[in-house]
Amino acid sequence: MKKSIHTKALAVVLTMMASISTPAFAATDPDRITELERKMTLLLETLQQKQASIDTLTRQVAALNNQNAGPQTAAAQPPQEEKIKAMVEAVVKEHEAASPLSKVSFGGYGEIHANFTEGSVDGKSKDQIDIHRLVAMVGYEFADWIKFQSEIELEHAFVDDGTKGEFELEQAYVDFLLNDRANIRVGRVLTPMGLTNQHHEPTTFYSVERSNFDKYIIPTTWWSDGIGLFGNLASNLSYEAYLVGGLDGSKFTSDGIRNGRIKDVPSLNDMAVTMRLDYYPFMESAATWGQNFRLGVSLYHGGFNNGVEGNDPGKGGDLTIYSGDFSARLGDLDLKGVVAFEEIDGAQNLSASKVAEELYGYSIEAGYHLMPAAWKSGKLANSDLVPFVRYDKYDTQHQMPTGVAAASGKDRHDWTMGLAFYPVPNLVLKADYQVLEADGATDPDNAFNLGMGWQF
Amino acid sequence: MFMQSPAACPTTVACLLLFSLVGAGCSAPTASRPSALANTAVPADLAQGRAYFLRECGQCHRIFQPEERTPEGWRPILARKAARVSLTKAQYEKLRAYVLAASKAAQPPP
Repeated sequence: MKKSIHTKALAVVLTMMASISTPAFAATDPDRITELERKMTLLLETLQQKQASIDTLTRQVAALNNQNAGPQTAAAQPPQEEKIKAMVEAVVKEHEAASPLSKVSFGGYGEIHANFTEGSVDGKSKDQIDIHRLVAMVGYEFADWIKFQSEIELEHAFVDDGTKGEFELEQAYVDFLLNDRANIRVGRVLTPMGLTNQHHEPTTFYSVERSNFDKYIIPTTWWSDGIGLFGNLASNLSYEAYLVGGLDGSKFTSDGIRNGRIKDVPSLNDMAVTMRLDYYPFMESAATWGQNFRLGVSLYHGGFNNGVEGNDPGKGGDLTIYSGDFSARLGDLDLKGVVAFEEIDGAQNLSASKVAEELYGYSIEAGYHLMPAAWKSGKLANSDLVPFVRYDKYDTQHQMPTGVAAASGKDRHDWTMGLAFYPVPNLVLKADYQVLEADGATDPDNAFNLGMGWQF
Repeated sequence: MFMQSPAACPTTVACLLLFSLVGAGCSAPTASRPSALANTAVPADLAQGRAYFLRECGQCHRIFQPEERTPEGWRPILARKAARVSLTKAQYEKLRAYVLAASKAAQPPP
């Protein structure tokens, strides 16, 4: 634009010079000189006027350019309100960091169930409402690389002799975070077997009750006391491995190893190792389903001549559990499954309790995230609705020791189908119906269950 | 007693429901939630953060996919959860970077 203005001004000056110079050459010399001086003066004045005009135009062009650039410059600079907000946040963070509470974390979960069964005992209903679990989780950060976590649980609302209520410590461990590949964990940990034992919060599964596979084959909740390592061997492969106190085999029954868990002060007479691997084989895939497809394997092996406070029962043997599991999400479909096989070497010593040499079971579940996007607004913006169906198979008398007859009705399988509604992600309302069947015996009573679970 | 008679054929009903769910899932669009990383491999600089995300966030609840929320939705959650994970601050920053990068694209203004 400036170039155009200069060109026009020059053209004007040249035109004026041409128009005023031609008549001057026709006059006499003195007159001509006088006339030329006059005209030069006039020309200079005209040039000065034109220069002034050019300067004015230049300033106007510069002003226009500044106006056009103005909004962009303003956008690049944070508005005053944002500056104040950032300053307030910085002050709040500084204050929080200085508080001792900044090192403490607190969480919890709970679940309430209503169970309605078809059968009765001596003509009396078994229907009940049960505040099944109320849990507090407390953590503390000793340093950026040393962290404590704990889980304290009250089951069935009341603890007294003769009630089934329990008050127990499910987790209490300290992590020493060293590097990506190897970190140390010391204390009471969740035994890393199967799918549900480590992920047992009520918002993590869709049924009201945990599956019977997770009751009879992997005895959820199952914790172990000891020391171990965890970390990532690769970006798609993580592991946990622990050396822990073992189970009490003298408490094993025809229903499996569940009663062998030592909840208070386990003996270290027959220790055990337990470990798991989680592998994402298609993590580098571009497809979302591939990135989230997970395979897991877990192992438990150890002796079971253990009691409380070193009072070992004197019934020795070894327990080995092999388990595999997977989870996948295909669009809005969740799929997961787990299988486990148990070997009890020394079951012959426990024949009075009809303990099997081999137990096995599996569980597979499908759930579909059904909540239409159009309903996800307002209070239900983060809601979810999941119908699901699950099949459990669990045989706790699969292979008996020589000469020991199997107890009847221990080869069981369940269908569980129902609905889980999450008004918000951390609270779930559940309803399901369970069809329970036992081979070679009268089927257990079918059940209808309602539940509410939460986690924070 | 809530019910007196068992379902006529519960296994059949359950099988039908299971196969219906599988069918519905297979036909569902997998990219229904737009994300900056939708249908692309996760860049190498975010892969470590994703590994932490999968290991730690799945410990206590189902893994909520990053694309289920916008960055604005994730930020307060990430701030709250920092003390609950077995990660150093530097490791958690990588997790945070991955979640925000893979989160649902912010909705355009109406």
